[in-house]
Amino acid sequence: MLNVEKLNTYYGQSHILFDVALTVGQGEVVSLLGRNGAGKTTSLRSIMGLTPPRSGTVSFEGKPLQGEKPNNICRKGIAFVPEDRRIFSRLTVHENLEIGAIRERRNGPWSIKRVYELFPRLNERRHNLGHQLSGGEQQMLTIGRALMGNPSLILLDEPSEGLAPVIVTTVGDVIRTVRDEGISILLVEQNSSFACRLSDRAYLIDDGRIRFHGTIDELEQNSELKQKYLAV
Amino acid sequence: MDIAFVAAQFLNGLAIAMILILIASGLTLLLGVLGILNFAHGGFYMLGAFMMFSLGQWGLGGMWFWVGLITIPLALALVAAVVEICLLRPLYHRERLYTLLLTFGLAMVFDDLALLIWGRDFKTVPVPELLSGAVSIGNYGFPLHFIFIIVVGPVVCALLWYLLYRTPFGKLIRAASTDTEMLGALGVNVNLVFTGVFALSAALAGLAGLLVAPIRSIVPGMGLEIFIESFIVVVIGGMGSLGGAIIGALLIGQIKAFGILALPNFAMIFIYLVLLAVLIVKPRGLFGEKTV
Repeated sequence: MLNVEKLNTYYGQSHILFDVALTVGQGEVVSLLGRNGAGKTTSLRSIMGLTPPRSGTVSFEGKPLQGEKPNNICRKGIAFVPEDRRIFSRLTVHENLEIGAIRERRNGPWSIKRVYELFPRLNERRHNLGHQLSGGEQQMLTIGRALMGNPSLILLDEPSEGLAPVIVTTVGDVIRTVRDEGISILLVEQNSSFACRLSDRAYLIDDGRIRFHGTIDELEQNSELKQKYLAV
Repeated sequence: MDIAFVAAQFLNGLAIAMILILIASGLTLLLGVLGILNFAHGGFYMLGAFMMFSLGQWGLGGMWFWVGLITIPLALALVAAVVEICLLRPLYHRERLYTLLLTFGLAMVFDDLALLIWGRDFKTVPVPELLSGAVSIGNYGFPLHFIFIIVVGPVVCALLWYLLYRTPFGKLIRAASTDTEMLGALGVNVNLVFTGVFALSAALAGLAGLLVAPIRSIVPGMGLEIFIESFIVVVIGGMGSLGGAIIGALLIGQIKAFGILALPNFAMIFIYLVLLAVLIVKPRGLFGEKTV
């Protein structure tokens, strides 16, 4: 459903992504793994139109996306869950969720009620402001906010980062729940063991280039590859 | 100085404050949401006053003031929307300096436009008939028009509060003031939010202009004067903070009203002193946030 080919992205003069290519199929969870600074976040930002690629193609459900503004890309069914969560700090939890669905609704199963069922903690905190939330609560809220737009693909940037192990487990459960709804996920992670437990396939990225692509089993069996591109 | 005089002077300061609130709230919204300092903001205030002058000339069967009260803010909102879409929008992705230069140029264009249309002479507008009386406070007559301004201010503040905290558009404005890029990634056309905020700020400034039209002389250049005062209000209150702008305006209003008694020709000195004091104690203003 998502098809990325020969993506080249720059920040000003510096060339960040080199011919990045990847695909995500319907209902699939695909990991994009790599070290800090390898180009994972830039890949997501390029797909979302936040850092438009200089060349290459991105197509989604058969239609080209490159050149579109982020708001139009969102309305086509792609949600972006940023690494730093980017909760609207002066809005309440409830208002943050409403913003996620403020544009004309795509038809889909997600509502504020369902998000609260998935994250009971958010319901308890519904009248709190964004900046009063803990890191884990913010992560739940940013995922919930993305779901409110009824996306068919979620770009999930390092959801486990900086969270206590028990919260990471919760986030993992949520990713499975979301996948079981038929929503595809492109999961960016440094925490490869977390990502591999959840994913069908994985890509390894380093220095802005895709170095490996295969199933999780293939990756697990290739310890040399893991050592080279993932070891800290 | 008897108590009635002090009371009258206090109300005077309150009226000044209400005008400053209308202008500073727009200015602070623009800073908070669009991240721009709009030098041309006072231009909309000036245009509001001049437009009221023209309506007064036409008379409109005695209804000129009340017609202007509704139509002038709407007309200026429209003008502002066109300005934002055609001139500002192409500059948002450039360095902030370009926007600053553009609004500075716009301020001058507005002034020259007013010169061209209305001429160089001071213009005066009569006080509308319904508001031409006075309320007696002790031995002093306090003009009814000032009372009207003191009433309009809080009403507009309440409407603004409702807009920001109880409507979907207000939610978007508050969200845009923290993170416009994320708002766009959630499917919102941020450009439309910007246009809306710019139009709203111009309507508020125009409302202030038309309200003061009957009680001061109208002249090109009045926009820059009010811009400086309301910018001080915004800095004192904390850039981007609406509550701060309101407190700042109330403070400056009283300082102007009573400062003019102490040093009739140098009342602005007190304003700058307060500005200095606030900036030394709280560099981000009274209600400024640490992270902007």
